[in-house]
Amino acid sequence: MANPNLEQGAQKEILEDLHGRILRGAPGWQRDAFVVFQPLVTRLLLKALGPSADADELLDDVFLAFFESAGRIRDSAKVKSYLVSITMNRIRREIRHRRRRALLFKLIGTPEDVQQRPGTDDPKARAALIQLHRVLEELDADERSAFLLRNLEAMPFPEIAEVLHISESTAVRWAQRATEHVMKRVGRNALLCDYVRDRSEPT
Amino acid sequence: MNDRPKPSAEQVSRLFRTLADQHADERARLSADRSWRRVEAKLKTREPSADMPGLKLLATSARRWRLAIPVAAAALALTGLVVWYGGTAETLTYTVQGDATDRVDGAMLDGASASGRDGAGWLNTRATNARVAFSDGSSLDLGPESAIQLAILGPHNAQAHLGRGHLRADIQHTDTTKWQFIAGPYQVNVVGTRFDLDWDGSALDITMHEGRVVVDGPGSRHWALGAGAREHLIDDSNSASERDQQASNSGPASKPSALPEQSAFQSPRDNAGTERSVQPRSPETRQTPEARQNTEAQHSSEARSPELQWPALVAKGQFARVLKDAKELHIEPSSLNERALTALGQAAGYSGEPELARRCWRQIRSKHATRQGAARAAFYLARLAEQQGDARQALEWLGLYAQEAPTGSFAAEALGRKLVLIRQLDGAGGRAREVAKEYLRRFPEGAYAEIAQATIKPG
Repeated sequence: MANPNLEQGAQKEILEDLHGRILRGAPGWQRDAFVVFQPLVTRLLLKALGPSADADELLDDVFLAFFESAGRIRDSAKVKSYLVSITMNRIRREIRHRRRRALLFKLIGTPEDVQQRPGTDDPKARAALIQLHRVLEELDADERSAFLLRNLEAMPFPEIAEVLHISESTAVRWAQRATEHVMKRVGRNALLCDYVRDRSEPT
Repeated sequence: MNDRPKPSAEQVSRLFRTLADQHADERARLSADRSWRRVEAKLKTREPSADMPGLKLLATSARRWRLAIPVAAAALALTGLVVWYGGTAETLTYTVQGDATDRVDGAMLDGASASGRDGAGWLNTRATNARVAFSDGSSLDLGPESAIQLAILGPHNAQAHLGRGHLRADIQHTDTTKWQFIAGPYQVNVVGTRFDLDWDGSALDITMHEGRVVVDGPGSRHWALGAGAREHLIDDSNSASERDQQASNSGPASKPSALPEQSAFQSPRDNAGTERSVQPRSPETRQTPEARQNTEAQHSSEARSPELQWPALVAKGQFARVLKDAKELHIEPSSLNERALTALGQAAGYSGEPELARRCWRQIRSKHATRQGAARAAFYLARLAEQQGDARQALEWLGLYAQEAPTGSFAAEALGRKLVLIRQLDGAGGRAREVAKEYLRRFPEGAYAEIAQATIKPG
């Protein structure tokens, strides 16, 4: 949501109003939906694909798909999860596509040119974020999606299961496997360990 | 050697989340306007197809039926029909599947298609079932030895005359859906629902699976039926009406369905026991007066309690049902509490009934008015005034909303609309600039940030 600090009742009210306007086809509802959800979708894309990702095309795809089918959403409480579901489908497809492309580059010896974008003004934080994402990139599309939703979005497992179209037990299994992998890799990186501890200690 | 303890998974996740959020939020903020312009441009290139409801109908229908019928054949047949009959893409079309014949010449109709232009013929089934599949996803399943006459009256508007036999109707709901089923002296009015009809020439059986219908019968009598209700209506010209009403989980129909059980005929809720049954309102019911009192009390307190039902219906986008309820029950806004009034006001507003919506919102402000409710009503009244072209009135309501709920859910929207309206009335002068500055200070990423920027720095 555009403003995560809004109280739940206010968010519900906004979504109900938006849903009504979607169903009625009220002028400008797409713009309003974009304003409400663009930060969320951008956050999901960048968390899944890394700070260097060029997520513009994917963002466009997600919203165009949403605009095309949002009229079929029957319940205002489902608007957000419906959009997250579209986003996660695109993310998983993109991860698989990138893996195939990386393999191809490996085989034909062409380096993948990735332009690093500044993540934050703090160079240590930027380096840590890039390293954490490298660990995340080792996960397959399913585990990465589960880790993202659980650990980086604090989403409850039933909701994860819903947006990924899997059972709750599968969601738990994927997230656990991903967390174990991330922790193993972080544990081997002394600099990253230090940075996490330093940032976690109360000042 | 680093002998400090390893960080916990919670610590790693929290840090990762913080860093990623900072980065993503910054990217989202910086790119918001640019991204919207890009998406908007792409949206415009797609609009021609989105504006052709007929094509959308075909696409929706194809998705719905992809597991049940060969999509390509249906799409081709329907597309061909639109071209062949030279009609608009909005015409409702249908195809007949199964063992059905034309009543007049006895020709087999399996695979035949028709549109509204010539779709008023009679269809007969013989020993087996047949299905009539419509381009909007609706369908009629005919039992053996049944006869219907179909007339297509609009894109979501049709009439089916059940001459005899059994049919199961599954009508897709839209805000403009209007179907009528006629059997003898009875007329079943539908806006989107699923039910069974049996007509033997003297009695009509209705079994509701989803949604609701209103049945008009002889003597200007009406029956409103909801999911789970069953009705056995006898046309004996003496207004006799037998009730065979059971909850949906109370067992099979007393009269076996003429159709063999198929998965497509099973409502997911048929056996769940969660659907309520709606008691009939006919004064000719054969219940005892005491039982009738009980059922009427149940009817009013459970089945149609607006403050319980309407907010849920509005949340599901079923505005037409809320309005229909209000009209059927002759409900005046003055008799409702704030919760029901809010739902009715929203339903009316979204359904293009501004007068009713305005009465609801004014009622909330004048009578009930929790602080939050009154502010919300002011916001919706502003929207209605703006839709009616009364910018000054809209500004007054927006001003009230801002006073009463300065940090409310619609604060950003209210301030943005205020800016737009002031620009309309006074141009982008001093007053508009002040509002624009306030908007940018409070909502720098809001939907109206662009127009606020343009107000402050024209050109």
